Amino acid sequence: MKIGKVEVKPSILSIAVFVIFTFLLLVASINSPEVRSQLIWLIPCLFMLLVIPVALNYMSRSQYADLAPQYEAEAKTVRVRLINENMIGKPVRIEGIVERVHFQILNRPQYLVADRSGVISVKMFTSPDEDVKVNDVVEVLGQVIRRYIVVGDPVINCVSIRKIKKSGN
Amino acid sequence: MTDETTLPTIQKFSSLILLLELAVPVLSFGGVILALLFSGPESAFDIRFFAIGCVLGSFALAYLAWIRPRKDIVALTTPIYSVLFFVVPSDFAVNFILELLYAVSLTILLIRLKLRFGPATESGMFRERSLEEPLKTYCETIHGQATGLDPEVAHYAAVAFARFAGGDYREAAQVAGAALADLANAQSWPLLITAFNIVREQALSLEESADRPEQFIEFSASDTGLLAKSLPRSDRLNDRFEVSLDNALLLLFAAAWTASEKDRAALLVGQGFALKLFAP
Repeated sequence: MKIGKVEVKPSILSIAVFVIFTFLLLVASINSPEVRSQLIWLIPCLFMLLVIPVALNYMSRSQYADLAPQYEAEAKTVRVRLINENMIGKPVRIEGIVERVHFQILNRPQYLVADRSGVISVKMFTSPDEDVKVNDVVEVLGQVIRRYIVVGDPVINCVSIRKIKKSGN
Repeated sequence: MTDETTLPTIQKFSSLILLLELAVPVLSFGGVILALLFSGPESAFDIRFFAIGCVLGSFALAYLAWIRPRKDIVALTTPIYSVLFFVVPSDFAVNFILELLYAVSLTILLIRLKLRFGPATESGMFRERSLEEPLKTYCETIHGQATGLDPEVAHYAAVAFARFAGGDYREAAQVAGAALADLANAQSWPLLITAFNIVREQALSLEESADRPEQFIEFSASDTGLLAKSLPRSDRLNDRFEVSLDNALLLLFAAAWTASEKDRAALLVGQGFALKLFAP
């Protein structure tokens, strides 16, 4: 779904919640006249279950889309091994192969990206433009942050991740 | 002989860690034993009082988890559970069995913490106070060569290392250039000149996000004895390029550590990065 120039991708989880509650509401309204009398506010509430995640996704994706050119201009291409805790807050660009993907279902994907020099965790707080899978060769733009905000090893807060070659498989 | 790389506070801290590690089972099982001793109907004490051992043990475990570089979220949250189980009034009764199971759980978590999350001596706290292996051994290797180094050049080495570690590649290149200008006027250590040249070249390359050049500065095979990492085969260009930088940065670190004592605090902040460079 596209709103303006932004491709909105609500998470599978949000859609699943909407579908489940729609089903429950259907069953309840068939069986209970009391529920049917409340449909005037139950149906808008049901749609809010879809509208709110879509709106949030639109806001985060449009913000990330605005940030990407700035990072494109400022980020320096580095090898994973060179990323360390002294670089917290610095914009970086890395190129590597995706070894693992987590939490895509929540629209908060975490990738483990490796290059010749090492491996680093790449966290994204919205859905990526492209569907990135294991063994994809990617370019990551983002900022070095600590894994748990103030403590933990350095990871990349990803602003943009895109495939730069066909999958390794 | 005094160990130059370890400050006295560390020794005190090591015994504190050991005490805390012992405190986890001692406090929690101690509370259980006291609860068992005073659990009779005629006892004047409520056995819930002895659950304080489990609460204190939980806080000790959480502290031990906190000071490790890799955080164990389970161990970190044990104080919350101890408060929920033993302090906050709830429907279930605090009894001997609950305290015993809790003490066993804490001990298992302590063992898990030590086995899976590394020793506490690798914590960030320690990292900022002492040199860790293999960096310490490498600094000792370089010690003889770097002892007579001009303190100003050694300071440049520290700043170039710190700037590079912080991703300020332009500044790192500038500092390396300034050091090379100083070294040009003096009878100096050729290996250090090569290291500054490598750092300057690769810092400029990183600043411009450029690819590896076809030709680049590197150490020669005769330098191997004083380098932190062995040189790769001549046909492995990428490895040679990357190892050159690792060796150059580590040499700057070791030279600065030896000849510029005032920069040691700043160098220790970048120790994590230096240790990372040792990885194969």
